[in-house]
This record gives sequence, structure tokens and C-alpha cells, in this order.
Amino acid sequence: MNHPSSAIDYLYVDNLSWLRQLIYRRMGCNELAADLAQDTFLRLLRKPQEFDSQEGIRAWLSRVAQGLCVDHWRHQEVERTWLETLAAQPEDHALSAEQQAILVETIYELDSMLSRLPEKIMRTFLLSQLHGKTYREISSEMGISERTVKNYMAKAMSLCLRVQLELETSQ
Amino acid sequence: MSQFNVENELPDFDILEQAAGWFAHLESAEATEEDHQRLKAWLLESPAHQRAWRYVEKISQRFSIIHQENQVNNTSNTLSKLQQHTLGRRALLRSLLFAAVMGGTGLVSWQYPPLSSMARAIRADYRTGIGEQKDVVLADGSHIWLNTNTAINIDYNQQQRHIELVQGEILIETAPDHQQRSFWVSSQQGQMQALGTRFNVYQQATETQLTVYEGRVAVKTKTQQHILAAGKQAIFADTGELRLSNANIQQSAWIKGVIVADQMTLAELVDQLGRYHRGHIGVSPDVATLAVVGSFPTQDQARVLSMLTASLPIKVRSLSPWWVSIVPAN
Repeated sequence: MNHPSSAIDYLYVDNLSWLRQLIYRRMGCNELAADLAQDTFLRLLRKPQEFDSQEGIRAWLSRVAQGLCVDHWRHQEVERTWLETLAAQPEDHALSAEQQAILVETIYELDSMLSRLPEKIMRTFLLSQLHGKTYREISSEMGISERTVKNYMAKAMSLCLRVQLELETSQ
Repeated sequence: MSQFNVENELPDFDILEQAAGWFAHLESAEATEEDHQRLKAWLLESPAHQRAWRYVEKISQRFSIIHQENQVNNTSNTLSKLQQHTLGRRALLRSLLFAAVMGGTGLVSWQYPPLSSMARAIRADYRTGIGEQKDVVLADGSHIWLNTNTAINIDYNQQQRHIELVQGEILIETAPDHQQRSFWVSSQQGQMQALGTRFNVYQQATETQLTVYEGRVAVKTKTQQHILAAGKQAIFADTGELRLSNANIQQSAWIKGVIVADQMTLAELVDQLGRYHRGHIGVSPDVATLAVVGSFPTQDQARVLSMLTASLPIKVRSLSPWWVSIVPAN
């Protein structure tokens, strides 16, 4: 398929209602489907793709849209879990809406990085970075050598860096 | 090796590994002031090192936010609940997949309403006025776009899906049907059966024009039968005779609100434009066969006319908004 300058306009008009319908079937909300379809095309604008057929276009759009749907669910799940956690606390936290939003987003990002790490590596990384434990403390708590702790830390950071890069190149 | 080096500004895999190594070392208690100096030197070595280190900082920054807000425990609890959910979901997925293997179509059937409700025949009519277009999604997910001045009847029953094109033009994109019912479109001149597909049907005054974009469509007229492949077009009249040609891929440009003129004469373009507007545009025989090229908005007649006068030796005489003549410029 030949794509002249206005190719993306044509592609947009050609596929918008199809894509909305596809997302709607997954999410069951028209407004959300419209938003996510828009985001899908935004990805395409930011990172133009070459397509050789209509099937290719739709395969790409539906794959990206699927990813956005999953992200959306995950965001909601993170927010819900965060609010549940807060609600279980007796004391008043007095976090502003903005602070809440930043925290939810941060936890979402942490969760998507951490979920890619093998369990032991993730625990090591969290004990160090979140709980501020020293390598020695982690070593005795996990029953591994300090050398291994350091190893795990490098591994964890290396994997997180890859996730971070994927994140930045996919947007 | 350098799998992240897709663009120049992204750090190389090796460099990321080194940065991760620096990070692990500097976090340990054994890191000395000298080590910090060595990191500085490493960063000065190349901009790529600096970029890689910025990513490391981005990641540790997330933890700083949690610390600043004093939310270590809540964050820790939230994260571990999320991890448990993830594990739970994986287990659920495994059991569903297992059930699907054991139960055959268990996974597929939940996406559709039960058979009893599907068994009820669905009957609906859709219509567009002049200049209007409509986008209809049918119960099975098939899509029909109605062009200007179009009317269709829809008849879905247990054996087949049937669209009757009463007048006008439709673009169809069929969805696969889990009941495997056939999909038919009938015009005044014949029947067309979709064989998994995207196609356009245009009911003209005495003929039907069928254009296939994807898949195939079987046509049946009074006297002839033919299977049309993607990229082909057929015109058939009351006599049943089929005329085959290559598809005009611009035929479906109408759903984008444009007429794309490639090998069109002025008279043909005006004819097409007339479908979207009330009133009359007359074309003088002296200019009727002038070739026009370009894409023209279907909804904006005034704009099309001014585009045409700018590029062709013609002028537009407008007696009233409803009566326009196109004549030679001099």
C-alpha cells in the first residue's frame, strides 16, 4: 500500500470506527473506547509505521489497542489496590489529590518494572531501594551472600533499565 | 548485541549493563569516595554513559518519591497485593485453559449471547437522506456504511444474514459468524454472497456496481454466476449480463467524505457530486469530457466548484443555489 503525505488521515478515517468497535467490545464503554482508539492513533503519529496491507494496519492497531486496554485495566487495579490499602489504615493520611495521583502512577510504574523480575531479585531490590536495608541486612534476611546481593542488585537494575527503555520507545 | 540501539540516542546494551554494575556497587557499603570519583570519570567518557546513567536515576527517583511522601509501608503493601493478584490471575488463566481443552468450545462461547436469543430474527431498516452518511454495526459485528440517499433492509435469521439494498450505496465489512451463516446482499439486479470480506455495492438507476476490496464475493444474476476476487469490479444490469473490470480502488473513498477523481470526466464528477446535494448542476457538452484529477469533498459543493474553476477552463453560472451550470470560460 502506498502512503503519501496524508496517508495517516486516510488510515485514521478508514479504521477509526472499526477500532472503536473493537475496543468497545473489550471494555464495554463508549467513551473509553473513543479515548483508547485516539491514543492508539497517537502512537502511530509519534512512531510512524510502514504497512503493506490493510490486514497489516489492522493487526498493528489491534495489537497496540490491546496493550492500551491492558494498561488501562492495570492502572485501575493499581489505583483500587492503593485505595484499599489506605482504607485499611486507621490514621488519617491527608494526602492531596495530586499527591495521590503521583503515588498511584509511581506505584504503577514500579509494579510494571518489578513484575518482570525473578522473585528473589525483586525482593532484594525492594529491600534495598524501598526499605533502605543494607546489603548485609539483606544478606542475612534472605540467607544469601553479600556478593550475591550485589549481583542481584545489578541484575535488577539492568532489567529495570530495559523495561524503562521499552516504555520510552513504545510511547 | 545492541538490541536497544534502534535509534542513535538510545544507550547500547553493554553500556546499560555497565551502568547497572555501577549502581549495584555504589549502593553497597563498601563504596568509597574514590568510587564516586571513578563514576564521575566514567560519565565524562561519553554522552552515551551519561544517558544510561540518567535512566538509572529515573528508576531510583521512583523510590525517592515514595520516601518523600512517607509511604513506604503502604507502597510495600500495595505492591505485594498486586503481585498476589498477578499470580492469582495466572492460576485462573491456567484453569480456564484447562477447562477449554476439556470442554471444547468453552472459551469461545461466552463471548456470544446464548443461542436462544440469537435465534430470534433481527429485523431493522436503515436510511440516509441526501448528503447524509451512516455507520451501522450489526449484531454479529459486521459493519455497513451507508452513503448518501441510501436505504437497506436487514434480515438476520438462523440460516443466513441478508441485506437488501433498496437504493444507494453501501460499503460492507463482514465479521466471521460463529453460527457460520452465509452473508447475502441483494440489489435489484442480483444477489451477492460474501465469502469473508470487504466490498462496496452501488445501486445505480438501472445497474448494480459491485467492487471487492478483500476476500471474494459470489454474484448471481438472472443469467450468470461469477466469483469475484479482491481488486475486481462487476457491473450488472437487469438482463443479468455481467461486465467485469479491475476495481476502482477509490470507489470507497466516499466513507472518508471525498470523491477521488482519477480517470474521471467533469460530467462524471458532477454526476457523483449530485448524489450528495439537492438541486441541479448542469454541465455544458463543450466541457463535459474535460478530465478532472484530485479529491473533492462530497459535502462542500461550493468548494468543489471553486476548485474546478481554478483548474479548468470553465466558469460557473449560478441562477439560484439549486440551479448551477458549468460552461466554457469564454
